[in-house]
Amino acid sequence: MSFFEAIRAVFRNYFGVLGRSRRAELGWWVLFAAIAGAIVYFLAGATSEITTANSRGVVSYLLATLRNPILYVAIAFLAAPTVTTMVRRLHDVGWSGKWLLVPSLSTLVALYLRNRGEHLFEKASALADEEGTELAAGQFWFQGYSEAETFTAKLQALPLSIQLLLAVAVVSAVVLLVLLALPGQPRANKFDEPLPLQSADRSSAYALITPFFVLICIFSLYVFALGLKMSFTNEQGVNEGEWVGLQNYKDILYADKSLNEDFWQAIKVTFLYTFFGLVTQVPVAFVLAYILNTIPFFRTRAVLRAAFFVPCLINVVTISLLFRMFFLKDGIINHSLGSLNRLLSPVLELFGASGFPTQTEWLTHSQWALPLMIAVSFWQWTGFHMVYFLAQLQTIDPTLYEAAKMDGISPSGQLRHITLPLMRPAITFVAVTSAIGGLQTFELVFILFPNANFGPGGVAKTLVAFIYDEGFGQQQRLGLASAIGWLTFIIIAAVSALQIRVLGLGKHGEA
Amino acid sequence: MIDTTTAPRPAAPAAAPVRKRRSKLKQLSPLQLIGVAILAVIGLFYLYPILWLADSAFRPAVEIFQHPPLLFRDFERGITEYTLGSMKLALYAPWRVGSWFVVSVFVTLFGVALSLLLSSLTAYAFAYLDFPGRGFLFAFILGTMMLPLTTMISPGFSLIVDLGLYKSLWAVIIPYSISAFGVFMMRQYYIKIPRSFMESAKVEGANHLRIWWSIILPLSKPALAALAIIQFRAIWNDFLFPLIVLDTEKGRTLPIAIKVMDSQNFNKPYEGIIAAGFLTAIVPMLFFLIFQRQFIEGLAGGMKE
Repeated sequence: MSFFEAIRAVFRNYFGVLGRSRRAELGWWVLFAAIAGAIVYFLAGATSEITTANSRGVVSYLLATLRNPILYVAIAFLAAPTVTTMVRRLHDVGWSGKWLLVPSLSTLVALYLRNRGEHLFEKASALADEEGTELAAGQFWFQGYSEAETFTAKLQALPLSIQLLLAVAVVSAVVLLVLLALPGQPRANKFDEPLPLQSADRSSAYALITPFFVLICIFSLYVFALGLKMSFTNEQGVNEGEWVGLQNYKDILYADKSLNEDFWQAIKVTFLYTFFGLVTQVPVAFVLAYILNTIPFFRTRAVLRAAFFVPCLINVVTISLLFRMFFLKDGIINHSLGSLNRLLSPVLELFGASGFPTQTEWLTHSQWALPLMIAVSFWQWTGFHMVYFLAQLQTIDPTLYEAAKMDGISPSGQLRHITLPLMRPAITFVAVTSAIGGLQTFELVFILFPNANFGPGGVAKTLVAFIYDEGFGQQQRLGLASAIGWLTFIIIAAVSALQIRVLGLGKHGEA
Repeated sequence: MIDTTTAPRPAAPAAAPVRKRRSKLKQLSPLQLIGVAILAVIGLFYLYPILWLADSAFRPAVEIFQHPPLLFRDFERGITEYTLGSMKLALYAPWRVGSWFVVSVFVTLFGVALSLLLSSLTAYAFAYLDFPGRGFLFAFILGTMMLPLTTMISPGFSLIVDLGLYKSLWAVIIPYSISAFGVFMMRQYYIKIPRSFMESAKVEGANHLRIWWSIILPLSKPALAALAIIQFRAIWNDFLFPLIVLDTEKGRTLPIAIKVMDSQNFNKPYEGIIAAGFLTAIVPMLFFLIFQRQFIEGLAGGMKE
């Protein structure tokens, strides 16, 4: 087997842990991986020189950002087939590939225990420094380990459990190496190698979903659980806090008066905003979509659809800034109201009315905060919902309407008996999306009101804004912010469960 | 929950009814004409803030606070007196929006590419391969979509710090690349592709990575485009997470850059803010202009599944 044949064989079975591989395959691959690894290592060193030499400027920053990921990917790229080829090599000598787990797992556990020991020791010595006391000699095994100078002394300082694990790892690794070097069992024929379809599917399926699952477990499940743990601590900024039990929850719910008021104010404004956003946007979006759908010109319809849709493409920060400028005391809204007054003056005189007020301070009067938020989000999101409705309306079979027309059913009857029932899933979907968006509102209130103080007197502080303010504002009380997050989660879960029970939203197939 | 019987529905039967209606052009009732006219006027009012933004991005600072805008007061002056001054103020030092534009493009590019890669690989396994725990794992992915943002903010930040990613661009790119919705959407598309395509490839001895790359990916281009558009819009406009985890000195995304300019309490560079806002807004709008059909189908497709 030549070098290139071997490398090609390895790449063909990149993730394959089934089947068998020849001795030459692994041997050549190890050589290839060593050369490639050396090149990558050299390149990494070279790029780190470049990036540290002129560290100013965005391009070198981006290069520095890319360097480590490329390294990791290269290492994974080389390591993955090394492992799988080793597994297949074990199959070839008549052993199960699972034996590779013995040295790797025992090494991993040993490493974990060592790091745990280091962590405990550092924590204790930092605490001792703070209190001005000394750690007793031999209190932590890591003390002896870090002071030991030679390799054997370091090994002797390790606790018995780690020593045993390391012994297992070394012995099994040696055994495996010998095994890998054995000649393979005789082959029946050349076509013996591919294994049955069904079982081959299983291992590659796990290989395919692993990257996504590792990430989602860390960034969703673990983060979620970590939030619960943090809510019982007084973590602040980047410092790990101490366990305080239910103190955060007590503070929010009754102990701390101002926190309690802020919390209920945030709940109130978030739910009011979500509710009014829902009842203004969804019906208007539906009516707009309905009217647009009756327009027979394709071009006109597309242009109008685009006009209503475009606001949702722009980021909320820009839009909030824009509307803040519009709603200033001498902004465009008050000016337009003035022009409207002039335009309507004959009518106004007739009724003796004085017209619209033109000096309203929209942004600094607390009664206007919620209506402003609702108006801006109405402008931004109605077209977005409309597009969903329009797409759904266009999937309705036109022959249904023709049949109804022949039966003499009026347009309003058609709307009630054909359109609305068929649109029900879409309405549910849009309502749910809109509600989720409403509950997550942050940028709007953060930017719309001047000085980032969430409206006059903080009346527009939504839940996310409240969490941001507590967790990332002046005090950075992350533990408290997590507790708010979990309380919100409980409330939202309860409300949605109630909704599903009462409205039967869960089974929208009934219509 | 996932109804496979309704899945193989044709994508959007838009073309056929349109041609039919175009022949009705002359039979348009006056009522409909009025309706179109009213909608057109409303549409213009609707677009006014955006038009104002586009106009003001090329005006000097004094003009931004004048009402009505220069174009309405004096059309001739308005049309001739456009300037690049505020654009220049925003683009270069000290505000350096040009650099943050590059950073934003970088983050969006990587976020979209990684999320497409991960979603389609994972969806491939869920659509075509049978393995123990498939149903449970898929339900788990869908379940993670239900977790509200409020519960994730502060522990998310804590995790980023623990992972040593704080102030690195990967702190935002990696979370962007995990899209449970993307897996769901791609799987719904994949189960419509006939299995016979891959069975024949399998007989020829191709492994799954190869089948995915050379058969499934080319066939699923429309779904990939739709997902890319959804992800692009979300990542380009995202604000809260970058605000928390990014280093505002070294790597801001555009919305953060605007926020930083706005935090200036004295001599707030309003004209620069407007120019930066315009630059940020024009990118998704241009994309929308070019890929209008994919945009609409992508968003609507998300619902249909």
